[in-house]
Amino acid sequence: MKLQKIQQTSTKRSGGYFVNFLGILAALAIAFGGLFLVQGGLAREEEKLMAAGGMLELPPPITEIEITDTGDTIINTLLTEEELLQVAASLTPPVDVRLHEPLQGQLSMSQAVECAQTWLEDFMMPLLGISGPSIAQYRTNCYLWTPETGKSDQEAQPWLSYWSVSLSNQEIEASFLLNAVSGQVLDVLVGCTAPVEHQDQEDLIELFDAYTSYFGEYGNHSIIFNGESDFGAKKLPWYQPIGDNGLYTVMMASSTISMSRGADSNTLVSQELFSIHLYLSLDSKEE
Amino acid sequence: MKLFTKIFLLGTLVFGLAFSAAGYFLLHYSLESSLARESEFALKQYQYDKFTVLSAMLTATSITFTLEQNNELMSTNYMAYTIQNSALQEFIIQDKHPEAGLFETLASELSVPAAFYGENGSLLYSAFPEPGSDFVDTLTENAHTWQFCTNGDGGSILVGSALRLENISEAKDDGQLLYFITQWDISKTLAQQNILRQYFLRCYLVAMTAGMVILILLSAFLTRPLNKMSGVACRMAEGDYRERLSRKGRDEIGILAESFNRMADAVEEKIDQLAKGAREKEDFVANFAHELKTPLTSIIGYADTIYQKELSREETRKASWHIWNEGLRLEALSLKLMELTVLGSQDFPLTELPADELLQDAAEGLAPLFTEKKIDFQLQAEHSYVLADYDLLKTLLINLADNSIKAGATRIDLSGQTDEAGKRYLIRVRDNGCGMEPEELSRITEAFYMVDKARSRKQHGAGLGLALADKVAALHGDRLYFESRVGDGTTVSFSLDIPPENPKASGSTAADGGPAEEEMIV
Repeated sequence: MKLQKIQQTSTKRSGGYFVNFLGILAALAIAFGGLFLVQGGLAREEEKLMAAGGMLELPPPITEIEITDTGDTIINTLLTEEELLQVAASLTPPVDVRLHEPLQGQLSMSQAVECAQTWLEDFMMPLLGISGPSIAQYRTNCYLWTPETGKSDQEAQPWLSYWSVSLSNQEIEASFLLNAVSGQVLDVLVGCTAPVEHQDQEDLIELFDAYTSYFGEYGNHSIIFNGESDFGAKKLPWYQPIGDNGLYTVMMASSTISMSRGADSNTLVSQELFSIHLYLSLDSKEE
Repeated sequence: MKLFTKIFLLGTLVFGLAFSAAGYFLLHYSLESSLARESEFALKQYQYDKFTVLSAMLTATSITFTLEQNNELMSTNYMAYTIQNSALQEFIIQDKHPEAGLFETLASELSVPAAFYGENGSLLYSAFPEPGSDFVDTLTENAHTWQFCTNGDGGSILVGSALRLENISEAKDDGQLLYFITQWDISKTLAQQNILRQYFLRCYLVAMTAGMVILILLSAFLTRPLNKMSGVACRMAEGDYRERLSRKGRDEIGILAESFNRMADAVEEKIDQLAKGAREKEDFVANFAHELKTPLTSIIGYADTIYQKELSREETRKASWHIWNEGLRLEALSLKLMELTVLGSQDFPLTELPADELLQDAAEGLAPLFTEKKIDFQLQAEHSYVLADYDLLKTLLINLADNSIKAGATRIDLSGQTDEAGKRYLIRVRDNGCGMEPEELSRITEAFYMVDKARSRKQHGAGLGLALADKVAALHGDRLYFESRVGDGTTVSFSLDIPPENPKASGSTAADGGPAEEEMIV
């Protein structure tokens, strides 16, 4: 009887060991099987994601707005002093930009390029006495952007968008910042290797006055020479207030002559690089 | 399955599932957000490149330009949009097909690989393997379409749309559609995700291995006290009741160990009680046999003498007296035993009785005995109702008085009074007998125990009186308490329940308003 009991206990024990062994095996299977499941699941997810695509809807094509040829410039409308202040404030660095398609009420790309080219060729080049190549001989690059404010295209103010237009050829390289609604040149940097006939101080003041007047008649236009009245190669900025709200136009101009050896290596060839930077600013002492 | 294995299995399951789920969701979220970020970058870059292409195409028409190359003035009528790009210069010199060259040059100026398709879907130029006509077919003017692509180990995002060309030159050729596609490389992001996955794999293996080791230790830690408990239980089953568990902490295991120890204490106590009971039973039987044997031997001896010998009348009377005397002892013994048996097996309902009257009645019953034995007896009893069985209580008092007389008392005081709380009625019997040694007190309620056997037997005692009295006291919810000193007499006390609702419960007053108290002197 006792022997039978011992045998039964022994059988039970060996059965128990087997169950325990199975339990431990199951634990190991769970532990390391989970890893394969995760890897497999992730591979499937990646496959699924990599087969996906999407579409970013664009705003409807714009109807081109009317722009006015004033003789030496082309603009849509003049921004008010308040709008100009907001525009100057929105351009204060640092600015994160967001590119976008033209919205209703904004200039198209071709209109923006046309505004920039007309401003360059009919406004600035005659005043400085530069004779350059014809209109179609520029390399063009332009894009439309707005400062990143987190607002959608519909929520953003259309006149707080800007066209950056660059025009370049062998002799002139010009970078423009145009208001996307008005087409006004808010910032322009021109580098020129072509001969500049009118680069005396009086000529530059005439250009500067003309640029300031371009924004409309806002009070007194006396130029602030910022301690240096003589124009030279120092690139000192000149300021001219627009109205009485702290809005200024700024001009910096410089002329540099470089010497290089000619093709025969014996003769020296001189080349003059004239550069001028005109822009709108909120601060008269920023540089 | 062992508890150890169960804990290990369950812990691994929970740990594995939690870690797998967390890893899966984290990696999935990382991949998803990375791809979303990449697609956002791709769309931004596409917008920029689209402006570049559109603005380049704006002036790309039949323009005449001059190009100075190798000191030679060249003139060409090719379609072009720039005169500054060296790649274009090279293309012009090599006299490549103008349109293909234009798009190749244009593509080379972009920061990402690009492809151009004509309005009819024909490929104009592609800097990457053709994306397939399916993707080109999905392109529209009104949206930027994007799609993920895999190639080998890497991947990319194709972004495209249909561009409507416009031109500001005199020779306008507006309205033509151009399909423009860029390829944004995401191989680095995918590689990073792969690295992240490998890293997770290593972390998972390390964490699971460490987790399993911890689980093994934890399981062992948790099951060790249980194993110990099991061992102790086994040894107890084998008869060793002194084993106890060491108790650590106030957790469930600690509480279980404490309970186990309490149970072991109770078992040990019970076993001790059973052993004591068995011993007492053995003693009882032995004592009983002895108590029977003594008078029977005497009876048999005297009967044999009368039967065998010619005795004188005086001798016959003497022998007969001895037989009668021993017979009385046997009768008393059998009566007491019967009472003890009855008390142990029968329920006695307690009734509400006036305690003073009860004590008075008992005293009156004992009065002839006290008179005969010349006992100075005094009774002092407060009036109160108690829960008692009249006959049993009388038996108890008679036994106590009888015991006092056997102890040689000449004075017995019986008193009864309620306690301070008014819940118990205390009865005390005090005598001035010979008294007892302190060590005797613990055994005097045992059956057949006699302090002075010779004297007790002489008085027909069988050592059952106090055992009987103690049993009666127990039936009334108490026991007998002894105070005794050799030569100074003995005081025995016990108490009875006072019925709670009875208005006369605690020292109630008599009809005249004063405290009711019975007093009797013999």
